[in-house]
Amino acid sequence: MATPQPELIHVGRGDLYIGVDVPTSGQVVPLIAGVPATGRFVGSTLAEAMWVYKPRSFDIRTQQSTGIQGYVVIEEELDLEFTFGEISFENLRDLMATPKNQDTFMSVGGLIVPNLKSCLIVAPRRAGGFIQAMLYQAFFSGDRAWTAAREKDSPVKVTARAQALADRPLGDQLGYIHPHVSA
Amino acid sequence: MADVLIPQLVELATSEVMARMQARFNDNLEIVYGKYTDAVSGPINLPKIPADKFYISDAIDPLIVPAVFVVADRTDHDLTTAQNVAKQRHRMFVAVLGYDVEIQRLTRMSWRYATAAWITLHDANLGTCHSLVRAIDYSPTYRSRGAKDVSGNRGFRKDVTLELEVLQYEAFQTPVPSLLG
Repeated sequence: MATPQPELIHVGRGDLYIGVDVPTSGQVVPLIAGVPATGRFVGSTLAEAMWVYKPRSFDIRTQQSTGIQGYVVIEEELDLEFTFGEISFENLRDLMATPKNQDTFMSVGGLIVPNLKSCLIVAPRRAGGFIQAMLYQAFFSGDRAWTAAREKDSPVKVTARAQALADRPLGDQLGYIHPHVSA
Repeated sequence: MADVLIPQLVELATSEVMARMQARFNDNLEIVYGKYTDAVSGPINLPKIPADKFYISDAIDPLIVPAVFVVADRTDHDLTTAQNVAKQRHRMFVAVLGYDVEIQRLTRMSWRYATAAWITLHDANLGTCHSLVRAIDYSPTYRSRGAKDVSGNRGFRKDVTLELEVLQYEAFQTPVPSLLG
C-alpha cells in the first residue's frame, strides 16, 4: 500500500529577493544559510507569496471522434504575486512598473519601458531545506495601493510577470521551481 | 545562539509603553493642568508620578500614590498576513491610581490623569509598537484602609484604566536556523 509523505505538504512563509543573479540553465540559485549571495531582500511581507504558472492551450480535435485528440500550449504566463510591507526607497525603486529614480524617492508618469528584475522566493521546507521559485526577469505590473489607516498596517500588493529570456533554451526561458534546495 | 534574532514579544511591548509613560506623562500632565483655568472646574493639583511608581502588575498595592500600572492582558499573533515578521496585537491596561481627601476633586483629577495618559499613548509610535487607546474605564471611588499620601493624610482612591491596543512588529532571523537543512 502506498505511503504518503505528509512532511512534504508545504506550510510556511516565503522570503522574497529581487535582482538575484540568474543561474545558467540547469542550475538553481545557490544559498548560504538559506540566503542567496546576490539580490536584495524585500523584507517583511504581509500576505502569502504565490508563484503562479498559467499555460494556455489549444485543443486539437478531429471530425472522426468526439474526444480531444491533443493539446498544444500556445501561451505561458508566469507570475509571482506577493505583498510587501516595508515602505522603503529600495522597495519603491525595485517594485514599480516605470519609476523614475529621483535619488531619494520615485516619481511616475510618462515612461513606457518597464523596470525588469529577477525575483526569487525562498521558502523553508518543513522537512528541511528550501523550496525555490524564480522568475528570471519580471515586469512589476498591477496597481500599487498605499494605504494610511489608523488601526492597520499598509500592505502593498505586487504582481511580477515574467518576461521570457529568449537566449535561454526553450523550456527554460521564464523561470523555475525547485522542491528542495539545501542551504 | 547569541547571534540569533529572537522577538521579545510582550515584555518589550510592556517596556515600551512604560518608557513612553515615564518619559512624557508628567509633561502632558502639565499641559492638561494648564487647560483648566475657569472658576467652576478650576485648576486641580495633579501630582506628578515619579519613575519608581510605575509597576508591571496590578497585584501591587502601593502605599504611596499616585502610581501607574502597565498590565499585559492578552496577545494575539497574526498568522494570516505576517509571513516573515512577528506581528502581534497586545491588549494592555494602563491604570493611573490617584488619591485625594475630597471626592469631587479626586474625580476630576482622575479624568485629567486619563486625558494626560490618552495624549501620551494614543496613536503613538513607541519603537517596535504602535499604541492605540481603545477605551477608558473610570473606577468607583474607594477607600483603602492603609492609603495615605506623602504627608500621611488618609483619604480616597480612584483609578482610571486605559485599554490599549498595542500593535507590535518585530523581526526574527530569516531563515530560522532550526529550519536549515
